[in-house]
Amino acid sequence: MSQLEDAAYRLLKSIYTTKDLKVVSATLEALVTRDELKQAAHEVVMDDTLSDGQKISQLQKLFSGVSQEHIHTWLDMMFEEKQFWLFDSKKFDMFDEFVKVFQLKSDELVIVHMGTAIPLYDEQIREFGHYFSEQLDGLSVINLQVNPEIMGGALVRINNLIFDYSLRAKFKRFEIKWIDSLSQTQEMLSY
Amino acid sequence: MQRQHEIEADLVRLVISVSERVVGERLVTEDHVNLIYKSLEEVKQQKDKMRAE
Repeated sequence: MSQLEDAAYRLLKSIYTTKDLKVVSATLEALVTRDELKQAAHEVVMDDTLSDGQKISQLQKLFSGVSQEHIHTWLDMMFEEKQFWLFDSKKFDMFDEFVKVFQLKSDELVIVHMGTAIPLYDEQIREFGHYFSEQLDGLSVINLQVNPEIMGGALVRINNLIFDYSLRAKFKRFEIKWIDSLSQTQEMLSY
Repeated sequence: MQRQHEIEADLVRLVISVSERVVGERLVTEDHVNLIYKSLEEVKQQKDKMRAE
C-alpha cells in the first residue's frame, strides 16, 4: 500500500456513516482549494530552523480552523507521526493527490443501508458502523433510514442482499406460520 | 369448515395486530437499540450460513 493509500485508508477507517463521509469529502474538496493554507504548511515543513516538535505545533495551529472532527483528528495524527510529506513538495501538490486517492477509495466502500424504527444518535450509528466494518471483509459505511413502520429491529441491505429482521417482519412470519398450522390441523381433522 | 378457518385466521390476525400495537407502545429507546443489536447478530448468522453454503 502506498503512502497516499495508507493515509486515505486511515481516514476512511474512522468514518462509519454516509453522512460523515459526505461531510469529510466536501471538507477535503474545500481544503484543496485553499492554496494559501497549503503554501503556509509547505513553508513550515521546509523551514530548517524549526524542530520537528515546532513544526507539529505550527501545522496544528495552521489547521486548527478545520472543525470537521474526522479530518481534524486525522491531521493531528499525521502531524504527530511526523508525516510531513503531504506538504513537502513544491512541484507536486501531495495533498491534492491524497484527496484524489481518498475519493477513489471511498467509492470502494461497502454501503450498508440500515432501516430502524427510531432515529439514532451519531454515536450509536458509528457504533453500528464499527460493528459492520468488523463483520464485513472491507470497510463499510452506514446509510441510516428511519422507518417507524418496521416497529423495531433492523432492516439491512448490503449490495443486493436484504436481511429483514424487523419486528414487523417477525410478526408477519409468526402470523403466516400460525395460520398455516391452523390449516394443517383443519386438514388433519377433516380426514 | 371453510368459514371456521376464515374466522380462526381473522382471530390470529387480530391477536397479532393487538400484539404489534402493545409491543410498539411499550418499547423504549434502550429496547430499540437492543433489538437492533439482536437483528445485526441475526444478519451475521445469516451471512455466515450463506458463506458456508
